[in-house]
Amino acid sequence: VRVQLAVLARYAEVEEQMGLLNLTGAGIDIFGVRSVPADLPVHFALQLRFEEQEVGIERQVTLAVKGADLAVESQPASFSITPQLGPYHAAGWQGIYAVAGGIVLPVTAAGTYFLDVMFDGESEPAGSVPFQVFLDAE
Amino acid sequence: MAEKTHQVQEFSSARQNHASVFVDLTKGRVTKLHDPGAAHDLADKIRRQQQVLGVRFVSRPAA
Repeated sequence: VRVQLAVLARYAEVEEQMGLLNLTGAGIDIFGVRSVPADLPVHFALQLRFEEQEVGIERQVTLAVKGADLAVESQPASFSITPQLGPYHAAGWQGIYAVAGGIVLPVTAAGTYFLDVMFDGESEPAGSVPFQVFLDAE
Repeated sequence: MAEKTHQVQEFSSARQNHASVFVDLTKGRVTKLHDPGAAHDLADKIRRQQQVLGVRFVSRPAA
């Protein structure tokens, strides 16, 4: 499995019947906040691409926030996915797994962070969303 | 002459492969959302929390 797309957005959902990602305001990477520390609620979406030989195999997807020094700033959170093939699958073609919803990003100070995506307990991220937090006086 | 019409079907192979979730990284907890209305309820909740926090989104200026 590899990360095709990972974004923060104002709104993100999976359209159940069609499997499409509905995104509004995708690509947020700077947050202005009145004070820190803060727990930032936002939407996110992942589009994961998998090979035929990965079908039916349960994978663990872990999300975590890391600071600029790559120290983990959050409690990592995991969920499992099991890719399946659909009726229109073409031999040799890859499949897509879509994930969308809400996420709370804890930040301790103004600065730069990463939302990292990891598979199966690996420490090296398979994908990453950089974001920045600044103190907004307004 | 009759105009030809073509109906295009658009969907993703993720029809069989998708998940709606709420990930709380302050608690290390993931909640899977099964109810179709849950995503919209969650959106309202997130919007209210953003207002309380005074979160402002800023787009990165071009270099």
